[in-house]
Amino acid sequence: MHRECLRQLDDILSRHDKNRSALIPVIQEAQELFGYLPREALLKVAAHLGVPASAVYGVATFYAQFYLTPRGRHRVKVCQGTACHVRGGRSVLEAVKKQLGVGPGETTPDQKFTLERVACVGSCSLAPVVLVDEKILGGMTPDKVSRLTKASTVKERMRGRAFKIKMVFKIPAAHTALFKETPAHAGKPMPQPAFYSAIGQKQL
Amino acid sequence: MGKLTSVEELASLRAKIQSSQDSNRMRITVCGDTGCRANGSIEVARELARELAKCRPQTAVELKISGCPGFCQKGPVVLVHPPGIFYREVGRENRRRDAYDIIDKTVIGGGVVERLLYTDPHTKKTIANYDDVPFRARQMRIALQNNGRVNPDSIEDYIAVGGYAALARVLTMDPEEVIDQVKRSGLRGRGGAGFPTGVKWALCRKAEDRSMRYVICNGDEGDPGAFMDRSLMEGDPHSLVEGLTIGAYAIARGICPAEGHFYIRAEYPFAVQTIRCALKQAENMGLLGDNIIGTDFSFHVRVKEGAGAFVCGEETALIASIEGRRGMPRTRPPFPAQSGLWGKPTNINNVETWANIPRIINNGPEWYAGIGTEKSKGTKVFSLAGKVRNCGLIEVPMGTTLREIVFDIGGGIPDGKEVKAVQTGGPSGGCIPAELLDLPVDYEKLAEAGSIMGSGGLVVLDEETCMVDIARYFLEFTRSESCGKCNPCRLGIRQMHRIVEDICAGKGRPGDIELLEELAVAVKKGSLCGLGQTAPNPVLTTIKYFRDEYEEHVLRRRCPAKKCPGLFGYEINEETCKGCGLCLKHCPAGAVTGELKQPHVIDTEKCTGCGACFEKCAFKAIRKV
Repeated sequence: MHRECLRQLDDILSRHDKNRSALIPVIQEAQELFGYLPREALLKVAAHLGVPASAVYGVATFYAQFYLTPRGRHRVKVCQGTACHVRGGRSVLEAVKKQLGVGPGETTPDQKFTLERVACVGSCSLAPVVLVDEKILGGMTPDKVSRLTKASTVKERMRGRAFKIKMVFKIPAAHTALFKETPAHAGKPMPQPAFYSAIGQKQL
Repeated sequence: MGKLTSVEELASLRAKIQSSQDSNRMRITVCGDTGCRANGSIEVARELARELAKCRPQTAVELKISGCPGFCQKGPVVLVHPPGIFYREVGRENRRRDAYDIIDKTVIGGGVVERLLYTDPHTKKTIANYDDVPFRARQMRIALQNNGRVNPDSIEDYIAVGGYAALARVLTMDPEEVIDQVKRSGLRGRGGAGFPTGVKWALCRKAEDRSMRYVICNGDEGDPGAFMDRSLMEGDPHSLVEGLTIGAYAIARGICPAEGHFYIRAEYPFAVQTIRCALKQAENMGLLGDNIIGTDFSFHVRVKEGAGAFVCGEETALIASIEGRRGMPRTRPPFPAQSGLWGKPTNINNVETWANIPRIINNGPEWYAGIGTEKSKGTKVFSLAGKVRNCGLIEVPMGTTLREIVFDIGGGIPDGKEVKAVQTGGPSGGCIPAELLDLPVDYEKLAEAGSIMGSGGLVVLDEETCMVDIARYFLEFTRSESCGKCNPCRLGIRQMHRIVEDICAGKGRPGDIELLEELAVAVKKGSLCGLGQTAPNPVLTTIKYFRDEYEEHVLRRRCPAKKCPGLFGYEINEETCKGCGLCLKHCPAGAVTGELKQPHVIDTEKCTGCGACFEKCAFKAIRKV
């Protein structure tokens, strides 16, 4: 797996210019590939771009986005922006911490969740906000947090697979996304309804 | 469609698109912005499409997903044009029924769905037309004019509403004349500092180095509590592309080639996607790239994703980040206008600034200068959030008072609470107390009050908010975001944070407040960039306007807002307590005593103030004292 990823890193490197400005985009893509930034990958990037390894390490540790240790399969980000803060974001973070049993920046021992605290995700009208992978869950309370993660682990044990289940607990519709394997619209352009062209152009 | 080779072709394309869009045909727009999407607006759109497909007799209706119309609090938002009916919270309870009703009653029946209309909280009357909703009626939308009107993924939509007409006009103008128009409009940088945009452009144009010019759109919206740049990038990307191209023409035309960059925050993956898509569409149409609209002016734009550093919103740090280095600011001069990206003259403007450029060219600088106050022209977009009824994206003329924003547009404070302060400018700004609510919002007035305009985050704080806690919150943020280059910022903020943390924990000592003030001055004076120079603002303004609250914490070990754990106690109301025993069960300190079905009592000696009982009580019988 790791070796395969290192091979794919060559593809990434070949797609970018061979100079320093490519450093951040390259390690962003590398992180997407590995899930984090392993030492070998950073050394390889440094050698390829002709940038000292120390400088690559410097960049990788400066920006909050980069991780030097493996992360969980799902990232739970708890927003700590101003609007979330005044609406109780702190207690939501405490509840998530308690639920997952890890602190911000840490990963659960089963490699399932990494907890992150983020400054603001720009969805202040939904405060307090928690992101599971790319999906935004608004209007969180400590109570909702415990119910959500509990529901997912119970079902996971039953089916042996995470996040591929329909919801059984009565929770607001917006939160059901937590149970999907991948976020519905992550990284894709804004989806138009399949019928859009038919309706927009053809006189129905 | 091939590339456009002349202005006439653009005009005829516009006419063609407009004629195909029958203005009488009903249009249903569903907000596809992050806020509404989190509430399921995409599913609502699918459901509407499904219902439309079932329609008999068949009706000609256009359904589209648009950018943010602003009223995020009431999402998912659906607008039906004409006549402009505003449906709020569509599909929150029952998606299928709501979609069915909208199609059945509005599209076919020509009426309204009463239960989905907005109800005025004061008059209790329903309002059908979006333009009559107080939230919308008191705004003036210039930068946001296309948000909620056009489909961000469709360049045709943008062209139909007059898009790229400003660019077409600029391409026939003298670059100096373009800069002069921007100067005369009085537009100032919307990123926070408020430097006149036209002057900035002129400086960059005049720079000695004549080999290359870079223009950058700063989309690194790091201020917690601000989301207008995200909404603009996601809702109206083509305005930004057009603005940036106009800027490049004004700055580089006749001197040297120009290259553009969108620097977008890592936390906004969707904005990155939308801008990339817009750039590609513009390039395919010949509105960007080589020989724009058949002229010999060429301009290429790249997208750079940030990697999560607040300080990269600062110009020189942003440049360092694009160059692949740690995002640390450097000394100025030389200013980026002389030596910026790769040592070449560089012009950086904020997203909102760029969005204003096409409007100014289209309507003329005098029109723009006629809006706003003497020194601050035009409008400003604010993201209204916090303890206010109507959260969302608003745009008002400069000089509008905070009271109008909070009460007339924001609808006041929920749950019958009182407004305590308004926080503007994020971690660089300050808290403006309720007494100053009649302050007209412009660059100078906010600075006089000790705050700044900032990028436009406006967080309303109510009586339950502890001002010391707010100061602590912002210090925590700036402490972790300081790049570490300047000692006063790196260490000073750390010390200030420690002191405020002590005060919040009830460990404050007399003299702490004075020490904070002293440190604040040192950090302000000794830091290189805006982050350090403004980081003490939240502390200074909260001390200035709420000194008594600090003193209460330090001298009496009390938190008047009952927010800081340990600085207030809990009490059980004998009358409402049912004696269920839930609090007794959950108290980790064993401070609750009482018989089943008898009112319980909290032992204040044993109580640690954790609040477990308060959260668990189903009868709201426990109150903070």
